[in-house]
Amino acid sequence: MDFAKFKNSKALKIGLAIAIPTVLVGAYFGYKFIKKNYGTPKGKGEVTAESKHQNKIVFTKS
Amino acid sequence: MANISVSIPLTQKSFYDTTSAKANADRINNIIKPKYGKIIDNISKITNVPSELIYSFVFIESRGSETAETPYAVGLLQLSPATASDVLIKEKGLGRLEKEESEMLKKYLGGRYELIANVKPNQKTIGKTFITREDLLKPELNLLIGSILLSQMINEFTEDGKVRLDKIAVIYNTGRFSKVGKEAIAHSGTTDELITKIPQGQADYITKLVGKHSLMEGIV
Repeated sequence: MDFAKFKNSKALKIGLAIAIPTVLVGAYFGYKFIKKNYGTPKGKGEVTAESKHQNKIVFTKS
Repeated sequence: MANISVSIPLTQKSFYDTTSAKANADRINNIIKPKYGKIIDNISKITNVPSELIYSFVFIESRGSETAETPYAVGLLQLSPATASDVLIKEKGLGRLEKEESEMLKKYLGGRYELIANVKPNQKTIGKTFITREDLLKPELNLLIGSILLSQMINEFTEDGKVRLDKIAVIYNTGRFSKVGKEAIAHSGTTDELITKIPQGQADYITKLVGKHSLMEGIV
């Protein structure tokens, strides 16, 4: 195969024009999918108190 | 130390009827308390988790049987070795591990306590499960680690001055990485709204814990 000829071919240009956006879009949605389904859930908060004794819970009956 | 008041029940929905509620309170007061009351009171003091909450979780998770085992979880508070290991590493990494807790852990873990002692600030994992199923069959150790987990959740899920025991119930039951756990974490509505949008099993967990005729209502 003549590589120099292939490098300038229309087929390569069309192939790359399809492949590059496909890979980028696939990577973007793949990242979003993995982050959504397997990422660490970000809650309302994280454990922030440096001590367990900052607050005391008092139960009352309503 | 500031007081946070939690009014029980959190919802008028119920899992138990009045007869079951009385039987449950009797089991806690006449069977679980005489057997584990001293340990639970001490751990409640050390971890600052209300003893009523520990009793209720013990009842739901194992009905007070220290030998309760499933393929996934073990003992009074039904912990898995992986969760138990992660809880201790996280607690140490956050700088929240109290002296009394460290002493108790040393007593049960021996040389393995070094794995916890060497945790650096803000480290969340050591990528290793060092707590065994046998460890979790020991009531005091099981209650200590489970209560530390509850204490972390109480801190995380105290929102606008309200302790979201409904969310804690769901996440204790399913874990935070499950679909339902993530739904509960993101939920910003009331307890009743949460109950209507999650599966029956987790909705029942909430009503068992903090609904009308619930365990908490019976012993508070």
